[in-house]
Amino acid sequence: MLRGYRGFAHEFARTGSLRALWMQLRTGAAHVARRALGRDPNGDPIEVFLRNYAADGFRLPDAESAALSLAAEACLVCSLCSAECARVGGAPRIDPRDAVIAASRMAIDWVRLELPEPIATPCAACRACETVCPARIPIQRVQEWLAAPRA
Amino acid sequence: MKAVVVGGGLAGSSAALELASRGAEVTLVCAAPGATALSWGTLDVAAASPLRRGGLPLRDPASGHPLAPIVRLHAVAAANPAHPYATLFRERGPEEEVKEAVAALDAWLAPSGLRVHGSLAQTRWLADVHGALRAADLAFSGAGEGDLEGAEEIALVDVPGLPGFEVRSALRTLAAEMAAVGLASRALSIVRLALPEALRDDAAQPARFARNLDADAARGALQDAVAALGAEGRLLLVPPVLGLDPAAGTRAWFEATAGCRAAELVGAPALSLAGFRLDRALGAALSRAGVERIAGRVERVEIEGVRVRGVQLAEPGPPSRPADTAMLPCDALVLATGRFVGGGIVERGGQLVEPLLGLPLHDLAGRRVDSLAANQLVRGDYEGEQPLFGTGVRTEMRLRPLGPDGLPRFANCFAAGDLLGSFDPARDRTGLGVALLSGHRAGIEAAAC
Amino acid sequence: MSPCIRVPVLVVGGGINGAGIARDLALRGVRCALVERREFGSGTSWASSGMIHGGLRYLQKDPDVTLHSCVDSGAIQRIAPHLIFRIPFVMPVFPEDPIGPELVEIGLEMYDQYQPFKNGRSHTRLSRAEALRLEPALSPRLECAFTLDEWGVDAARLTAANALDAAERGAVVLTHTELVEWLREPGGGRVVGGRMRDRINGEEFVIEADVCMNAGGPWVPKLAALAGVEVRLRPGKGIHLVFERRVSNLAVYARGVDGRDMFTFPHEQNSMAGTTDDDFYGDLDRLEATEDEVAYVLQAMERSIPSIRRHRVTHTIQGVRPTLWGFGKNEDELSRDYVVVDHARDGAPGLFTIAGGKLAAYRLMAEDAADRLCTALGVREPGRSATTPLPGGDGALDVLATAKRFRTPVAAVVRLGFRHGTRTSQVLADHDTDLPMDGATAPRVVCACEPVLDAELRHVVTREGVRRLTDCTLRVRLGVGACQGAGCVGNAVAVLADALDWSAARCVEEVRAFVDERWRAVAPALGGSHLAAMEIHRHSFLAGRGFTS
Repeated sequence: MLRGYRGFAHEFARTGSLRALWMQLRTGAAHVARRALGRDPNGDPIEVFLRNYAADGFRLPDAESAALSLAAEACLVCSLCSAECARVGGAPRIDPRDAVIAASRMAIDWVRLELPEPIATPCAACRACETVCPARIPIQRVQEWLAAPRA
Repeated sequence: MKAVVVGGGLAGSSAALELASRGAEVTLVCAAPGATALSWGTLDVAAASPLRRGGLPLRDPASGHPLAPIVRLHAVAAANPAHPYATLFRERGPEEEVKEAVAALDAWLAPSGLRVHGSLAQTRWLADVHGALRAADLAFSGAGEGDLEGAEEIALVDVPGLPGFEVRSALRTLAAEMAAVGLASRALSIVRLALPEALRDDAAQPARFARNLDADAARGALQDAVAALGAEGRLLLVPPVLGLDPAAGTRAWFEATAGCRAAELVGAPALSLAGFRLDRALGAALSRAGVERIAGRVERVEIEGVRVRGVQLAEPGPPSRPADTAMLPCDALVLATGRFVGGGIVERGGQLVEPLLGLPLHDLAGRRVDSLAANQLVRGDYEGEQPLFGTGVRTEMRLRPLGPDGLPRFANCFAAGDLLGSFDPARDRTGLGVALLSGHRAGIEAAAC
Repeated sequence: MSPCIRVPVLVVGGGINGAGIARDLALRGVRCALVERREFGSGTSWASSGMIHGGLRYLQKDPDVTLHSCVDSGAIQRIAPHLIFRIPFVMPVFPEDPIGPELVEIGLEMYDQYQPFKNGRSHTRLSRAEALRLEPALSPRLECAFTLDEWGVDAARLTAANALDAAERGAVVLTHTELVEWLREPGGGRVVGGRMRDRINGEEFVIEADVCMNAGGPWVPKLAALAGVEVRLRPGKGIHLVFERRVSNLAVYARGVDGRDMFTFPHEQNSMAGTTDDDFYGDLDRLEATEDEVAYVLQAMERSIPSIRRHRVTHTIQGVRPTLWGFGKNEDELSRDYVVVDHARDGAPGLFTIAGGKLAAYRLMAEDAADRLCTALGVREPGRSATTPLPGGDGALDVLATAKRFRTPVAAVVRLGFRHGTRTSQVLADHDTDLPMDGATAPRVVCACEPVLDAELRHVVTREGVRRLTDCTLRVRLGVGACQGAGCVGNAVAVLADALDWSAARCVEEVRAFVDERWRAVAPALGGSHLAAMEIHRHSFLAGRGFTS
């Protein structure tokens, strides 16, 4: 428990003004008292965090989104996926190339703007685009992710 | 004999087709399209860039006469003794082999509707979507019919709503560059393709637009608009959206409807379908030649002493093969895995590495670089020499990659294409030329080993 | 006789301070001339972390600084809501960290008291499990973590917005214009203006002014020396790595091997990691990150986010801080962080310098400087920069309606909103009327990575005074994504050429300058999956696009 206060002497010595000193002592005392008496009753910190930042579009990350975003980073903007999609007669609302570019970037903005509809419509899921992607991005999963309703 | 080729670009496909034509049983393993599929319509053997610092010259500095592409090839080999051309043609001159390889490629691609235009005796001038001139040795159907010579007047076709093509700026650039290289001036104009309402939205998506043009419906709707573009002696240069499938003959239809010459502009990253078409045509050629094509990655190469025994696929083979055939035995292996785009060379853990066999890598100057990080091999001058972008494997004359001791690592393994080091395909504009010629030779050597 | 402009105030330097001062003066009805030798903010301002932060670190030294920073962060939010976005931070505490979590939390509890001024939230304390749930990429070695938030901003757009507002209110605003020499009164030595040179067309002209402000950032000493006065700085170079897209929507604290605080944080479409701080002695005009700096930043980040090296770095950004050396010659020195100096005491009356400071404090600094200049001019107008919205900041943009009305992809309108706010409709509406072709067509995407529309390029050229292709990197974020310009520069230069009537040779020059600048930013961090993109990039520019010599 004392380890939590390590560095106290060093930080104390760096205090630059009486005002700062007073603030530190006052806040510090209140903090020690609160910690000694038990945890804050503010509730689950994750819930508090999400409540604080919901309006800014922040959502808890999930493994799938993170993995898709990382995979999408390798995009060369070569447009071969667009060409193959067109060749097989696909017509998704968002072109596969734009979907890959947008993946992860738009997610936070879309939620924040409270747009009523998902950005993408589910495509035919034929995965033709994936067969020609030099970076081997799982484009169909990206389309699905963009088409999922935002919570 | 069984051969495995890794990589399905121009180098790998040439090797595979050559092997097949010599009676080998060939399996081509390809993970994904690479540099070939991203090419823009020309086949640069040793293409000139007279307007750029460090580019190959158009004319002989002494006599001032235009250099034939084949002569430039000689010059490239002479200037850089480590260049793949020097390796390939140290003992025998290139003339016969180049002719042979180009003719073979043309024959393989023809059934798909793709031909190789041009000759190695003379450079032709093509224009790209920015209006910049490309001195082209050879070019594929689409852009290949767009030689500026012989056109009394040139008209750029504006397709309203098509992204990636700014026609007014292209016209200005074309005029300036034609003057800069000394091409006789001729009338340059912009003509506008009057798109019917139904096609206007499609123009925003070039690939879809191109595909629609392959079909009768769109052609019917455009008949009059295209006919209105033609004029006698005119060469119409259209952004590269004349069809997705070369066999559909959209460019020929356009030309016939307009009543004058018509061709595509050479593409650029934002607007190009030429590489896509070439990639598909190569695939079709492989199928026709009986080459087994497997979409997948090679996990590991099985070796025994100085011989390659086979390759282990990362995923199981296709259903057509017997069960548990992720292992492909072979008598010869051709590596045509490309450079960075193709994944033939990657950076792992801050070090450059050839991932399949761990072959030593050498930069443009011939220094061993496979323990170095990429950012240590770049220089400040963008247009100057960049050691990183000349990195690859070194080979002996028969295209077998060298091991750390400077001797061929394996008796039956060959390398071709961008994987080869000591040349910078972007700077010296020899990319697809090296792919074709080294692939062709690798196929011959592999068949003979 | 060279052409002459007469103004009460000449401000030399179009960074955030110079632009802020020009705007503040313009709001008071004082006409000024603002000259910038390159593009707005292209010196130091653009390369900042892009955060209007509250000054947490000053709590120990002087809480007043923190108070003022937080109050002013609130002001900037009000005047430019479209340019800012909230950045929640997570601060992991590791067992080997010298400062224990209780002390960290006490500091944050103090900071919480200031958060309301900047519309920030109170901190939270997370256990190890909770922290890993919030950001799974964090190193599992952490013992606990804390959250807080700051505001992010596009610093280049903020600078440009200030300059534009000044121009709209009557200031003479010139980019790519440099000071050749100060004009002095014969005998008295009073500084009465400057001789300027337009770096694009070479024209020289004179600006006469009653008072002059040297706001050159790291170039302050050089400009001061031209007037025979000395201003000492300790320039500190700082770099950031820019990732291809968001690594996380949270900012994550990290500590360098030397104990310095750094973070990986969201910025616009991407994440950035940084920064460094090293005394700089080199050429301010040819700034490049070094491999060592790149390695140092990644090493630090790896401690907090072990998987950071898997992410693709596209390029670096780099700038030099105009940190004060610390001189006490003038009693008018204000706060520890920045100074506004009247060089009357140095034998150059009429010349002022502003130096030091940080981006987050720009409005305060500018107001302070403007107060001083107005005093010198005998003007008694109070400043209004905290309450008057910047261009585009006077409301909220209806993204969906705008996208529908102008037949533009929603993604593009979102990004336009971040740069132009309520003026987005004007950007798109102008497009319809500007085009010389018959029949309006919808705006086309020029740069897919951002995306940037041809309409926006045309707008910044015709209405925001953009003069060079390189300006567009800062002004509309052209070419800073995955492709680093390979897919967009050819068409972008064409749009500019149309609007500015550039010759083909000029286009080549512009492209070459753009590519050189991109390469200097890319090369130091080049590696991993970015290698393939740069292979394509080189094919694009070396095989095509003219490059006429």
